[in-house]
Amino acid sequence: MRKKAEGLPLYIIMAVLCTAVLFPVILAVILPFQAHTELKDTLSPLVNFTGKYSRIDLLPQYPSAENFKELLVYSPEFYRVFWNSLLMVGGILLFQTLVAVPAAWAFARAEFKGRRLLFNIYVIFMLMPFQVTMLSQYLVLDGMGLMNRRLAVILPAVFSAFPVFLIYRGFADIPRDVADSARIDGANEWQVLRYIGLPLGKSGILACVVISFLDLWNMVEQPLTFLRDKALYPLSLYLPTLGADRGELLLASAAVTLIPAVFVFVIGQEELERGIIASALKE
Amino acid sequence: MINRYAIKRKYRYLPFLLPSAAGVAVFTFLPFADSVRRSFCTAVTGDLVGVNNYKAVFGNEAFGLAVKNTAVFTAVCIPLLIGISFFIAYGLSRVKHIRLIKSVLLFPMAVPTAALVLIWQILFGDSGWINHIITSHGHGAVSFLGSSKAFWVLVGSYIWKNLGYTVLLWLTGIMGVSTSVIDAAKVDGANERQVLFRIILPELKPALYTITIISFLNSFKVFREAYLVAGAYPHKSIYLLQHLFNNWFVNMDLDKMAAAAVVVFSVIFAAAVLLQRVWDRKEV
Amino acid sequence: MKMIMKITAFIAALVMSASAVSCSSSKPAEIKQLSAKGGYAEKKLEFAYGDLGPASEFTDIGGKVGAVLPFTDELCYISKDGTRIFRDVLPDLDEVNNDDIATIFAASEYGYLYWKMNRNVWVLSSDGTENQVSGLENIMYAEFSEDGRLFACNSNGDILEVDISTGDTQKITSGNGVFSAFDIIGSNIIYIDDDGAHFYDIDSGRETEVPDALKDFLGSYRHERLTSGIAVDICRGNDDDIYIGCSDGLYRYVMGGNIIEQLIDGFVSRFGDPSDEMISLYCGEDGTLYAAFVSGIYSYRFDPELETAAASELKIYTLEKNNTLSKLISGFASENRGVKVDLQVGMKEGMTYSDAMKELTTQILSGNAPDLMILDGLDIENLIDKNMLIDLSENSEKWLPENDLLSNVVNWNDHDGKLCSVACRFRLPAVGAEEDELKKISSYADIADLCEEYREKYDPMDTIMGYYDVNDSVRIGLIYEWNRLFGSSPDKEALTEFFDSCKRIHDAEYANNTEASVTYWSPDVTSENAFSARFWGALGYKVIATGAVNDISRDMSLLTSVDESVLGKKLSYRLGISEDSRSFLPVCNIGITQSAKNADDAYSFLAYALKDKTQENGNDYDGFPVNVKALKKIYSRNVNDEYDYTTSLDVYGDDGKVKDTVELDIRSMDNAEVKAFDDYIKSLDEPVYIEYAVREIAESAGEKCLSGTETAEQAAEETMKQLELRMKE
Repeated sequence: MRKKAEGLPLYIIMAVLCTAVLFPVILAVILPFQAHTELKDTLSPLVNFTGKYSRIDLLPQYPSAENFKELLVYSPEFYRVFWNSLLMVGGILLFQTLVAVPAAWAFARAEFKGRRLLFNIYVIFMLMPFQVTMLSQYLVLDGMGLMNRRLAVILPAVFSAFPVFLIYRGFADIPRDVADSARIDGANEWQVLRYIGLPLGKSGILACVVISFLDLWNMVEQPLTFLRDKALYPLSLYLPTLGADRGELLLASAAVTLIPAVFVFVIGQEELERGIIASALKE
Repeated sequence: MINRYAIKRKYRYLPFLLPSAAGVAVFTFLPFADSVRRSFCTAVTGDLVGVNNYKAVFGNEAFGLAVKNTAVFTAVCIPLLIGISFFIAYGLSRVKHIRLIKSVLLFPMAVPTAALVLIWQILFGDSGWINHIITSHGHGAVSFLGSSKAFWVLVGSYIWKNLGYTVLLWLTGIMGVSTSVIDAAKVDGANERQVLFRIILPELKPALYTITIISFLNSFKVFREAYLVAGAYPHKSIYLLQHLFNNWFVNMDLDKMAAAAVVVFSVIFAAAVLLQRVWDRKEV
Repeated sequence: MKMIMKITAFIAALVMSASAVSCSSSKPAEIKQLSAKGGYAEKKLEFAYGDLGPASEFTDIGGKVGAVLPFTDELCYISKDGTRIFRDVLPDLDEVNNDDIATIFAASEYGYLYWKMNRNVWVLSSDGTENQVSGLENIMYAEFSEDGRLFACNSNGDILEVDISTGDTQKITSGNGVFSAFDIIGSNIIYIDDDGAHFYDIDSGRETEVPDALKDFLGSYRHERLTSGIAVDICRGNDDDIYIGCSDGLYRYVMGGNIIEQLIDGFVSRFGDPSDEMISLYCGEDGTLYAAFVSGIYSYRFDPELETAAASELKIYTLEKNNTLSKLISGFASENRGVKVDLQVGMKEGMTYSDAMKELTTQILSGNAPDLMILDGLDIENLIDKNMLIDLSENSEKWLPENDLLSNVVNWNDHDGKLCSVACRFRLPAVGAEEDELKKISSYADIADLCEEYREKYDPMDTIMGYYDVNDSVRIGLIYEWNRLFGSSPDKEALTEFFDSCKRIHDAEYANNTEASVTYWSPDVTSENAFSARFWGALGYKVIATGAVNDISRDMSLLTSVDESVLGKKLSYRLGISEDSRSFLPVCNIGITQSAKNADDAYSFLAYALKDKTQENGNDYDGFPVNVKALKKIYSRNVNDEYDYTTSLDVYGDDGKVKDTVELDIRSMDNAEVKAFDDYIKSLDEPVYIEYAVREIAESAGEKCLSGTETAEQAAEETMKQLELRMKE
């Protein structure tokens, strides 16, 4: 009884917090459903200021799907960029996981000199902002003949250190004895990974996939630098080409971009939580 | 016999590591090595000039400004984020029905940057909604994005976006503290504060490590928003390292870019090593 | 709940992928290039009477194939051997023409469709009856089908069938936007609109399927992508094939196939010359192709001995698309058939300046540097600092022409004898207004004052500045004030005053939603170079002419022919904004890169660009030549009257109503005027070089000032801060 009453002010704070956090998201979702005339009040002051400031109608008076219609029916580029995004992100996630899982396993289980150092190098490279080495990356990719192809974006991301870092945490807390006992029973290392590591570290891996997806789905710098053809651009690049002057289209496409991301993490949320639990527990 | 077993054991993991390490070597290490080489040469013609580029970088005003801003931004954001998210997580841990709240907090991560930028413009722009509210109450319009307040808008944007994930990490850490220990302490007469400081906090060190690294990583990502809102030459307060690198690239100042890249790497490396030392020492 | 979400997600993903897959392209059309040996040769057919001018499309009248000229009512037809053009008067046309037919859109044995001077469309049927056509305002193209039906299209994208005997029209279908091609092949009308290429079957009255290969190819020539008039012309071949002519060259497509074969490259033929205009194509019975351009009729025959393989490749880079360059390239390429010229435009469609620079940088670093660069807009100082450009003064014998050049203009970027960029042409900023007012103008702020004064006193509905674009006040102001604003270092006060002037002019212009402009110029000229067009407007209206002057025969002749007694007002012009300003805009600045693989051809190109023959024959808006001999030649064109003409125009009074219709003689400059002009250009000493990056910063701040989001001072402050930051880097 006491606990519940105690909780009330806390609930109120939480409610306020949630509203504040959700407010921009709600805007991003509601605004595209407004008709052009209403949206004009919101957007045109940004482009041409005549003394009137931006107004926002939180409840659209004439909800209409005309922005979405314009996006989905009249902008054929949209499907193309959507497909590019799906292709690139899907490809990256698949191979990224395939490459990172064994590597994380090796980091978690092996004991060789320089393991610490190598891991630290991984982490540091992961932390370097893209702009710092973007030119050199470009030249390496160009030297490999990958410029202006989707592979130029996919390959570096597949071999990124970030998933290794995340999955490593998931594997790190699997008790050593459990794995060792499997070894003694005659299994080789691959089998240990497959029958013991994967099930126990599953949540870590799935957590990594979800986080990676959210990250990749919004990736901007790499495709911008390495892809020339507009036809190869992913969705995340299509958005910045629309500015405030085509704000309705931008908001509509942003809302549509949001959907797969929401799906992915609603579905993966359970796994995400379990994975985060695992990753938070120290090795 | 033991030796052979030991050797085999070491090499056992090689094939696991190889694909990833090879890829990282090619796509991350190799470009960096190229940068290192370039840091000793002229921009386009490639003649060796020793440490001239480093001198140029350290004497460069824009570099100083960018470094200062990036450092200040990181120093402000990360503790703020960690602190705020901890309070929220602690609060949530005392309350039921948190599933919904957790989902809500995670939403911001999914919003694409370009849309976010437009929303910020609608809200904070010089002719935006917040100014609408301010002016209709009789005050003068405030320029959020074009003045030093832009810094705080960016900080707010960063915290907003990363709150969910960070809260979640704290929460699972807090929840992970075994309840039996807490109950035992309570029986012994410890109050809430003592439980918090003596039992829960120490257990959260690993969570803190992960959170710090990820927050640091994400603090660099805020460049995207800054660039989309304010372009290549934004207000002084939000002029970050990445702006500088981007502009150096456009102006073909590749020598300075490379030297600065090596400098940044060294700083991060030193910081990471230092952190490791401190960490390891704390652990008994 | 979770399950439901998972299933919906799966289905949604399937739907999305399905739609995406459906729009991913099938195998694209293959464009087959010329093989190494044997190719099509272009040959001009002899025609003693100069240009064809606004002739009709190719037509067959009484067995003679040719084009009909409106002013002389003649059919200019191709001789039997295909080498000459003969003329033959068409009696029925002659009878009806009272010197008022301006353009003949379609001509055939069944009749004619033409435009009269008063902008009405008429048809003349084969039995001699003339009727006015209704419902064809804004006509764009018209053609006869093989069985004598007449079809036309207008600029709204409507296609109508015209009854030749009555002039009645009936809309049969409509496309989207302005057409860039309209031809009838067999029973199909082929047209290209904003949605791409279409086939419309006139017998069945329905659209039919366009073969994929053709669709992709033709679709890339949509109107919005093009800068000049007729983009594409199509004619029927003899073997179930069609020939397509466009700015990239002449192509052949066999119906039903997947290959589009290039017969001749636009670079080395009339097709790619932006100063010429294609009228139509025709395929002769023996397979020879004929193309009618404004400059004449040309034949294209296959020559198995023709060398088309290039011995060397010249890579040219330019930041923005540029017609002067295209003409230079096509001229150079036709004189140097062994050189393949590869033109790269930095700021392609939709690209920003920083993207273009990044692309250029990475190209240079990966070893693909261009050989020759058109430096207009680029940060030349930076390129020189980075040692990217060769010092041209070291090998001057490789490119200096035999004749003198205006060294004050050409060598404007001389750094103590080190010459890394050379200007091939130049423009002159000028101001034009009534003489009393003109005296008062010595800065852009003065122009703003005058503009506001005019707005107060005169008709609010007319334009005063003749601007084409809302931001023109900033863009054009920059050509006058650039050095004062950015000379050695940015000047905040000057910037504040500048933005303030821009804002005042902008407000005065658009205060009452004035109509955009009273002037007309060709779509490939940018507003800041349209001084003469505005000056033309000033002849009749209250217009303050601003911008840059580009050539002698057109611009200077107009400026020096203003006659107060005819116009009733003292309209005058001045080169330079103030009395003592000697400024000029160097254009087509050329530099050769250090890492050029083909420096020899680069030098030849530069030599070609500066040669007197090339410099004499520039496009209208290219800018003045720098070659002294070419200048003299152009001056001497005033000797005969062939460039003189008389124009009739309406002069409006101060109340906004027509006061008078006058006839003004436009004459080339006389000797005194030539001398004054020549002395002036020899005394030029203030180059105004506009760097794209800095202009972008000024324009974006200016835009905010014009739209009211910022005050002039704030805009100046913003510009200063950005430039300072830029300098610190």
